[in-house]
Amino acid sequence: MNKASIVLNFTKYNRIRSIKNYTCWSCKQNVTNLISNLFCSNCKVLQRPEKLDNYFQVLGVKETYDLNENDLARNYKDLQKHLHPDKYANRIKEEQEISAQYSSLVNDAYKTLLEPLSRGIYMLKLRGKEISENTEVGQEFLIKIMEKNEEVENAETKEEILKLNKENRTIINDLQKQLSKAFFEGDLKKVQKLLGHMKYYTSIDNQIQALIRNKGIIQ
Amino acid sequence: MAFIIPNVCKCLCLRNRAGLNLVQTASYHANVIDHYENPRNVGSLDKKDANVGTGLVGAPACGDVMKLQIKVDENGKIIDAKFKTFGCGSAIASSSLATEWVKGKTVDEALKLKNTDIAKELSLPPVKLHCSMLAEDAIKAALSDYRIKQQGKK
Repeated sequence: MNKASIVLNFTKYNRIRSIKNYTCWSCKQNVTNLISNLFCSNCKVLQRPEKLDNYFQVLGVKETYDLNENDLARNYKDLQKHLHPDKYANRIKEEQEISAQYSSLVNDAYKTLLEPLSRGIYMLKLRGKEISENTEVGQEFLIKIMEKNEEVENAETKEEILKLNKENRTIINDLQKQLSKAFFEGDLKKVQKLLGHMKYYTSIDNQIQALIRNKGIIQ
Repeated sequence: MAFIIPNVCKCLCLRNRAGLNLVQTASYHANVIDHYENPRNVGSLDKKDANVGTGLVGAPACGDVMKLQIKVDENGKIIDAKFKTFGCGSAIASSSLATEWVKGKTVDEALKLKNTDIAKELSLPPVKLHCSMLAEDAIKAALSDYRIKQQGKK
């Protein structure tokens, strides 16, 4: 695909960002805007990613726990449409490298923000915190988790497995709502606690999904 | 060592064979795989028994949960140990090894068991050291539960 057709393809998204004092690494020209936030408006060469340190900005979505998954997926696909290394096979080496790094960054960002657990952990990290080993979860909670794990381990019929799946997904959805509130209120202690809980239920979810796959259950 | 090989293969079969490389084959030490494939002392003891101590611990950062139980005779010697762990291979191996080691020890001897010993025996990499820590915590919790029960009896 040549440069002109790439430009034509993305003009419809019309994401042109105005920037000050930006110098293109390739043509060395000062440009005032980038086409689709990605390409030099003068020589049409792919630019290096700028917002390396924030996945929300990399994907151009609002930084919030309740992000719109449709927006996220749409921006992700739009970006990869332009960035995929296959499109740079006939370009100069530097541009190929930028494409490889940039599309890998976009993949990491998308994977991290898509899942409610990893999104929460990432947002906590942006605030300089993490779920530590010392985060107290309490005996009663651990007993509950142990029992739930045992139920999953012993589940055999399709009905049992799907019931457990539904129950567990409901818990995760509820935790997601509580997390959103805690992030909104800036209560990071609460966020840590909720993410700790979500981690356990996500582990159980992984077990259940493996069970569904292994047993060939169709929902 | 011969029996390890099929186990390693079995373990790796779960992955895409095309992705097989040296780094992956080297990532689990034979001792971990042995305990993971043939865990010792899996099960439960009666937690209401006054001679049984139960330790239930968890690692919120990785979502693992580990239950370790000991049964102590009238001389203060641990005569049985059981565990149940839902977690990664290293956590399972650490708790399996821990039950093996505490059996036959006195309560006081068992208290001296260190996570570093477990990690050394299993050759755990630094990122998995917390799994052996969890096993040590589980032993401590079980011993403490036993002591509390015994004091309650007096």
